[in-house]
Amino acid sequence: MILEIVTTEETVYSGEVDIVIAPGVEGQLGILPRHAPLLTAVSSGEIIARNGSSEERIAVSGGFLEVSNDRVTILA
Amino acid sequence: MASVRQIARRIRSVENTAKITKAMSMIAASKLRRTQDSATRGRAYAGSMAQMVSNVMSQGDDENGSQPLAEEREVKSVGLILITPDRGLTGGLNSNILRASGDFIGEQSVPVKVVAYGKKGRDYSRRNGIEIINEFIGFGDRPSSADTEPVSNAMMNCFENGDVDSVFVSYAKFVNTTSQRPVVDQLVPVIPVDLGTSNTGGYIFEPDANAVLSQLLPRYFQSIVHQAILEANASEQSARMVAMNQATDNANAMVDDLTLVMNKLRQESITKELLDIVGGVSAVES
Repeated sequence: MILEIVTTEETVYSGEVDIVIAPGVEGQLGILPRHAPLLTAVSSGEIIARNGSSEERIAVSGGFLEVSNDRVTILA
Repeated sequence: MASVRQIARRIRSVENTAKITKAMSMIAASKLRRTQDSATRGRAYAGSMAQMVSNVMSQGDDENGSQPLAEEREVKSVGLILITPDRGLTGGLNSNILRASGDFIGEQSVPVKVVAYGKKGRDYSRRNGIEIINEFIGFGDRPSSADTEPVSNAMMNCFENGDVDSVFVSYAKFVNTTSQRPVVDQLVPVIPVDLGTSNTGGYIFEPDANAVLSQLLPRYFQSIVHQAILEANASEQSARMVAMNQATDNANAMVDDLTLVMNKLRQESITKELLDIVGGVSAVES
């Protein structure tokens, strides 16, 4: 599964991940590979991207999250 | 025939012009680097945003119809966000944008209302008696999204009130340093474009389609306008850099030509004086 975090200024993150945990407006949202297409707003908080044993935490202040074709795009 | 002194004065004035155009070209070059940077970096965001919206809209969900920004109705009036530089000395850029926009306006069978970003577009609209909804002038070469949001909001309000029934944005797309392409793009109603992705369809919306879209669509509108403004700024700087480089070259060529003329004249007048003296001496001696 590919995760891409894009802001108006630049692409913050782009790469292969095993799981994405994002702060959805309805609460924490864990996305695993082969997730169904999904579109939701993201509230401010922390995005956790895990790939194997490595983990990256990225703070966002709201935006949108889209899952389609095994690809997670977060517009922050 | 101009005297040597007149030509010398002319050369000085052309040299000064060259100095000014050189400085302008250097300023434009340094601004270009920054504006080009933000334009190219912004493309990722605007591109993802367009893709996201297009994915959602191509689903053809009935629920989309209830979105004010996705509403399709009979077009009785067209809104145009006209993005131009505030200043001239950009070579053919301004006239190219305005010609493209003018052609677009001419093609419409219904009245066009303009939100002008940039002085040149405002002046053009005024000259041609096009209704101006609002004008935004003097945001410099690196506007923040807070600066450009009012531009989008002005037009979005008009669309939601039914003052305009479709919205286009006109600007110069930055291709590379020597080439800027004037484009007119449709913003709303959002046209679902096929971007070549095999769309599985059937999105899950959280909390629901309406809530997500009513946030997403205005954001989409704003990000497209913001990106257009960034592109337009990069285009302006690159056009100015090239135009001023050209002007500097022309001025230098002119100085060379004038120097040649001046030297010929100077030599001629010296020869004449010598002849006079020699003639005078021989007259005295005989």
